[in-house]
Amino acid sequence: MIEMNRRRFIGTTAATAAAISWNNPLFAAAGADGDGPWDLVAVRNGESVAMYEAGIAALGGIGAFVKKGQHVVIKPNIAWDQPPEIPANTNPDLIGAIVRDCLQAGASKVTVFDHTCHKWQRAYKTSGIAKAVTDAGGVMAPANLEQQYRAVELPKAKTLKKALIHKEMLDADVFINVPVLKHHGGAKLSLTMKNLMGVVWDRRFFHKNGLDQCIADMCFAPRQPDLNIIDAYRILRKNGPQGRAEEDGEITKYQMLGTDMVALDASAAKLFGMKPEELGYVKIAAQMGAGKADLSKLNIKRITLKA
Amino acid sequence: MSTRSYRRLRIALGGLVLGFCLLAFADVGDWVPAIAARAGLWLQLTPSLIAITQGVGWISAGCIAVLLLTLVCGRIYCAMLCPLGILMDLSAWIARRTGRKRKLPYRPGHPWIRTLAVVVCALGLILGSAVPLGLLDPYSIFGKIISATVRPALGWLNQTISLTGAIQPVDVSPVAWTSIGVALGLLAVVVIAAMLRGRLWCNTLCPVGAVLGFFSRFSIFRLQISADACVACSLCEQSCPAQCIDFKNHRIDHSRCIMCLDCVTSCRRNGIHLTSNRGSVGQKHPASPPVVVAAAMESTTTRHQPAPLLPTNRRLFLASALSLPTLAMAKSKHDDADENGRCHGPNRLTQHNKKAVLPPGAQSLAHFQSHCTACQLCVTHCPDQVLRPSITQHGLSGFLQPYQDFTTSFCSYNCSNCSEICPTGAIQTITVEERRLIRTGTAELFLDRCVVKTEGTSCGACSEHCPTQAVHMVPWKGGLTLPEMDPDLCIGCGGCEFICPVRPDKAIIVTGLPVHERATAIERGEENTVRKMEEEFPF
Repeated sequence: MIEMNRRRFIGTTAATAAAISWNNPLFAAAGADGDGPWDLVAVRNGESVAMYEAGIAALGGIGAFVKKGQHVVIKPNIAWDQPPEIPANTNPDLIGAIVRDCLQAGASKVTVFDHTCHKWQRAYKTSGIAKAVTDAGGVMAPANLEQQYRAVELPKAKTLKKALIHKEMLDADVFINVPVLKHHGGAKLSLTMKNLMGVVWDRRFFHKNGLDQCIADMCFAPRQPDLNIIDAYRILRKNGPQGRAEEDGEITKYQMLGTDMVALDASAAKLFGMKPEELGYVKIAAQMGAGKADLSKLNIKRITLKA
Repeated sequence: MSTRSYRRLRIALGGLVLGFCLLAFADVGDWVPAIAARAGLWLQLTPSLIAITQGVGWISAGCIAVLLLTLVCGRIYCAMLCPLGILMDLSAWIARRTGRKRKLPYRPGHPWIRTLAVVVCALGLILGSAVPLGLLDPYSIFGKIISATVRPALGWLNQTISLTGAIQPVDVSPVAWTSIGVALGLLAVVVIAAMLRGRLWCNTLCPVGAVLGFFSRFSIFRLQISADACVACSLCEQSCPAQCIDFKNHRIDHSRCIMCLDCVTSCRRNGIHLTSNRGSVGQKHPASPPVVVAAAMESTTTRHQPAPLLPTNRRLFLASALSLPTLAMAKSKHDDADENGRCHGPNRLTQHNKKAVLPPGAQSLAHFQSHCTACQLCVTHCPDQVLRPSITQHGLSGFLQPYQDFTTSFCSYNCSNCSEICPTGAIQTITVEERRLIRTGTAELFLDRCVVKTEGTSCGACSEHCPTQAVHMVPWKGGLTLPEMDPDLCIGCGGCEFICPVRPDKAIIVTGLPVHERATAIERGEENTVRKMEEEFPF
């Protein structure tokens, strides 16, 4: 067996990524896009897993984020007791693919959790995520008890100065945030920043003390996502964030990957047909310097898969 | 069958019944599915009797089987099918093992107490409350004790161990101190009585004991002391937990005999036998006071036909009269709210003074109160742990009957577990599809308390939790959205009230309906729409 050290690992992953993307007919021409590194990678016109594979390759492969022996924690949106056809939760196929990818990259353990709104056992099951994760070799962690959370301070935040945050996230070597793009009655859209509400014990604090400000404050939590992936394969157009019928869902076939949550949320707003500044938390987070909401200033890689 | 193997059977079956009932009522991990719970509790007399009137088909056959069994062999039910009776035997056994000598001499029965117990239960049912029955019926007492003590203890244990990652944590509703107090009080009475006086409870306060005692007087097989064999050693009398053997007169009070057959084993001269009653009717057997018979008959007739003896309105009125204190507190919300939902005065609607919400399937407060013995099986098995024993929420005539507590949880749109498990039919069996159309309560918005209006910040938590979008967000000023109600769609699940962040009084409150209604079905499009790919990326 070839001994893997860090240098060789990075070299191999980079080579693999290059080999995959070089002249690969799977990917359309980069068009106007320049060279990497990319602030944001957007993929469209494929199934969830294919879009993930193309997107993560453009970011240098999962190996750019996950090193051998690391504990990876994935935070999808699993808030509701709804089937995948009503996209209130992240696509289970996508989560399964990420888990598998992380384990292949040498992760010692991949844990998936969400502080659900509906009963967690039901939400985990109905969403299809529990099965996808365990089939891929990952572990579902519960988030239903206060003792599973730890008090942390957010000194740079404006309102959410203190919060109880789930220990799995705080103690993770790698933290991947995977929301689904959906309509939200109060916050208008639920995206990467909003998805981080699911790592906090007291979600009522957000609603009571200025939802947009508290969501933006999560950009200053002591543990930040190392990678964010917005699942926009099937998005919830209305009656969000829970959805009530399949007609609320729209098959859009997009996926956005990156590290800047503000930029990602801004791009998702545009995909939904809104201006980024219409989202209160995007506006606030950009003002607070958490990221860039002006997409024109970003180096975006746009990939359209051949149908 | 030899008496020794009968004793083994009694202990084995009794252990099974006790174990199963323990498991069913302490179930924190969904170990016992609804159908298994119903099957395992099939022979429990009281729920099965009540189920007869509810058309819960095969469940009600259980009580007929028990009555037939009693007519053939006496109160075998009390010896090995009653979980509380077995708990008493166990307590007495432990007491004996730990040094207390059991020498229980013959005592005459207390027919007037038995009558009174049955009359109280019957009166309760007539007046529309099954609560008195629930506080005396052994099955319901057992359920109350276990669900209020063992269940929270198991929940705490599970959650403590789960923090190590060894097991998955479960959700258990917060401790209800009043119900724990009642449970411990009942447990103390039952255990102490059993330690001191054996099956005293069964032959004084237990309505099931009174009814079965009535039937066992006519049973085909019964114990007889053979005068020829008897040397008046008194061993049989001392061994009888029911204190119903009068050895001096060679008499056994068959209405109190629980068929444990301990006396048969105790007799060194084989002088006590199970003999057929046929042809020996009129032989000397104890003159049971006619009042017991009358009482038992009364109780059986009332239980066989608990169909309203009075018009529902009057029953409701009488039942409500028992709950005057609560009614006085819960003043109608309409008295002090104007058309904008603004509340004035000290009595405005809060989550504390509203009418409590019944489980879906309970049909109406009158139906629920007159059929629920508050055994707490649904409370134990509610996946959302929204059902909790009421204290005064339903009035005193509904003491410990479950209500939906939206301070800790809310009722799932995709669940009908309580209705599938209820053994009495107090909660009628419904499907999940039916549940989605049952309105158990109505949500009411108090926009002057809403955080969007008072703080000018976005929220939407209520609408977020509304499965039918009866509460939905509509555009308001400054890019904010404000909740709006479509009452026709509301099913009263309580999600909105549960999550509303406003304190001390929430801005949306679900108040229970005394008679459940049918909600408008939402039109559910069955397909996702598909977006055509744009020429360019939208960003």
